[in-house]
Amino acid sequence: MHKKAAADQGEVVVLCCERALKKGELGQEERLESGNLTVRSAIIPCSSKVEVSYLLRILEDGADGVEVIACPDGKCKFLVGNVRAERRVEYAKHLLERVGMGAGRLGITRAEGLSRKDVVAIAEKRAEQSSAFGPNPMKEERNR
Amino acid sequence: MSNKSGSRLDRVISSGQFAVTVEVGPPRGPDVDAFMQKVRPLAGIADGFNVTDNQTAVVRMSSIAGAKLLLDAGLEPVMQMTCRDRNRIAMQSDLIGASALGIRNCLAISGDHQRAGAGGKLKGHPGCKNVFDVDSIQLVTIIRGMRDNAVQQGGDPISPATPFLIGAAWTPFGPPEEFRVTRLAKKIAAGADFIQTQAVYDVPRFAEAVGKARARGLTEKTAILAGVIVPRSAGMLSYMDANVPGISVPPELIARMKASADPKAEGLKVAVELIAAIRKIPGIRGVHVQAIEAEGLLPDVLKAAGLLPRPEA
Amino acid sequence: MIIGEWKPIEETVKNLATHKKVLLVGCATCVAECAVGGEKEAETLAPLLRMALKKEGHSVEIATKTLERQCEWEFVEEIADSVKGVDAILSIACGIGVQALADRYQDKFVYPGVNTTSLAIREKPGLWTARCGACGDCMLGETFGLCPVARCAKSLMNGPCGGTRRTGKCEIDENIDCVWNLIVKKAEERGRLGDLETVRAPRNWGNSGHGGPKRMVREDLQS
Repeated sequence: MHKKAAADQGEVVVLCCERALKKGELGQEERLESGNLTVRSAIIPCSSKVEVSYLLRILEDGADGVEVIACPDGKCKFLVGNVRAERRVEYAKHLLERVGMGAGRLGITRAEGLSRKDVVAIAEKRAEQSSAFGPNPMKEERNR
Repeated sequence: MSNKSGSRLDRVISSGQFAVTVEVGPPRGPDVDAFMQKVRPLAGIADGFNVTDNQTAVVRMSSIAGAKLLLDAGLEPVMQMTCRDRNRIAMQSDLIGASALGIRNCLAISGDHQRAGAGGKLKGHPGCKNVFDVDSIQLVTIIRGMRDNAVQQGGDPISPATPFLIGAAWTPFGPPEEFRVTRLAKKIAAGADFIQTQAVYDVPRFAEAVGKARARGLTEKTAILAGVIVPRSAGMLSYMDANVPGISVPPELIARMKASADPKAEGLKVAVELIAAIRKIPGIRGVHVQAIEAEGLLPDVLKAAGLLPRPEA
Repeated sequence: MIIGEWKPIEETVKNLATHKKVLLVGCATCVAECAVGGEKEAETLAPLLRMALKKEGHSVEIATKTLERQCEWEFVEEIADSVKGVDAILSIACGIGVQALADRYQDKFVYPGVNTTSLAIREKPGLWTARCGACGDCMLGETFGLCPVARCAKSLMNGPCGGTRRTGKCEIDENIDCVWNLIVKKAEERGRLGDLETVRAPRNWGNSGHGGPKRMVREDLQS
C-alpha cells in the first residue's frame, strides 16, 4: 500500500467494497498502472469501514485522489453502510475544500459486478477530477 | 391607584379618563436639535411620551437622556428600561438618577435579545454580553420597593424614595396563550400601575383576551393601554404578522391596505378605526399609539380619533 | 457533557505555522461524545492540518495522542515522553484540558484547537443542545425539569416574554423551543399551574461564575 511512485506520476487510491467487485477480480491490495497513472487498490469488507481520517491520511501521504467504491442503494450487506460511507466522503470533501486542497480529489462510486478494467476506469476519472488542483503538494513531504 | 408618582399620566389614569400615550424613538447620536424638532410638534397630544431603550438592541440616545430632553420641553416622558443591558445595580442607579431629573413614569420590559439587531440592516452588537440579571417582573418589584419602601433590592435604603408610575408590557397572543393572562396577573401583583400592550390589529381576539383579564379582576387593578401601530403599507403589516411575535394581523386588513390607492392615508384611517373599536372594550383604559420612524403622523391620528385636546389633569 | 466546535482551521494554521513539531492531543470523554476532540477527530484533524499548513508553505510534523480525559493529572502525565520532542501542543479538549496541559507542560506552547461552548446533551445523533448554565442555584425542581437559565435566551424567571413565536419557538432562533412554553405545558399536565403564579424574586447569581472564579474546597478530601 505504500510503494512510492515517481513524483511526476499521478496516483489514485481506490478503496473498494468486496461486494462491488466480480468475484476474484482483484487481490487484497494491488497496484495497477494506466499510462502515467498509478492506481493502488485495496479491498474492504464494507465501504462503511472507511473513516474520514483514512481518506485524509491517504491524501496526506501524497495520493492525488481517492475513490471509494460502494454498493448501490439497498444492496449493502450491512444495510446502510454505503449510506454512511457516502456521508463521510461528503464530510471529508467539505474539509478538503476548507483547506484549499480541492474537494474534487475525493469521490464515491456506487456500483456492483465491477471488473478490473472498470476499477481502472473509475480511478482514471478520479485522476482527471483531481488534476484540476494540480499534483498533491504533500508528495514533497514523503522524504522527510 | 392613587397618585403615587406625581405624574400627569398618573393623574389622568386615576381620574378615570381615557389615557393616551405615544412613543418616540431617540436619535442614533447626540443630535438634540433633530430630536427636539421631531418632538416639539407633539406637545399636548398625549398624557405620556415613551422614550424607547435601545429598541431592537440598536444603540440610541439613552431613554433617560431622551426623557429629560422631553421634560425640559414640557412633554411628560415615560422612560423605558429593558433587562438586557443593565444589572440591578445599574438599574437602581439609573432610576435614582432619572427620578432626580424629574422623570416620573417608567416602563419595565424584558428587551429584545441582541441577536435581533434591527432586522439585519444595521450591524448592531450581536456579539455583546447580555445581562438579564433580573427579568421585567422582578424589575417592577424593584421599582416598587424603591418607591413604596425607599429600599434597594439588596436591602439598603435610598433616601428619599423615588416616586414612579410603574408600567409593564403585555403580549396577549402567542403560546402558551392561556398563560399570558397569568403573566399579566404576575406583573400586576408585582406592582404594575399601567400596562401597554403589543400592537393590536385583531380586535375581537384582543377583546377576548382582555375579557379573560377582566374576569380575573385584573382590569380594575391596573390601567391597560392597548397598543396601536399606525400601518403604512400592506407590506409593513405582512412583515409584522410574519416576523413580530405577538402581532396578529387579519388578512382582510392586509388586503384592504393592498387594494388602497393611497396606503398611507388608508393606514391613518385604519389606526383611527382600531382606536375607536378598542375604546369599546370594557376594561381598556387608554391607548398607546406608535408611528415607527414617522412620529409626525401622531397628531393627525389622535385628532381624527377624537382624542384631542387632552383633558386637564 | 461539555461541548465545543473546531476552531476555524485558518486560526489553528496561523498558530502552528511557526512550529516544527506539534503534538495534537485529543480527549476521549466529553469532546469525543460530541465528535470534536476524540481519537477519531484527532486522526482527522492531524492530516488535515498538515495539508493546510503545507498549502501555506509550512512543513510541520503533527503527531497525535488521545488521553482518557485531559482534566485529570494522572492522564495528562501519560504524554510526558511524547511532549519532550515537540515545540508545541495543540489540544482539542475543552478549555479545562487545554489549561491542564499548559499547566503541566510549562515550557511548551499550548494552543486550543476547539472553541468550548456549552454544557449540553446529545438530543439525538448529530444534535446537541445546551441544558445547564452552571448558575449555582439549581431551580429544576420548580420548573419541572426544564432549565430557564440555560434554555431561555433571556434567562427569564417568571414566564415567557412576548417573543414566543406562533410555533412555540424562541424569537431568536426558530429551531429553539421557548422553554417557558414547555414549562407551562408541563405544569398544565401535572395540574400545577398554580406553582407558576408566584412572582419569583431576583436571583442570587453569586454562586456562579458571576460571583468570581469558582474555588471549591473539601477539607475532608485533602491529602
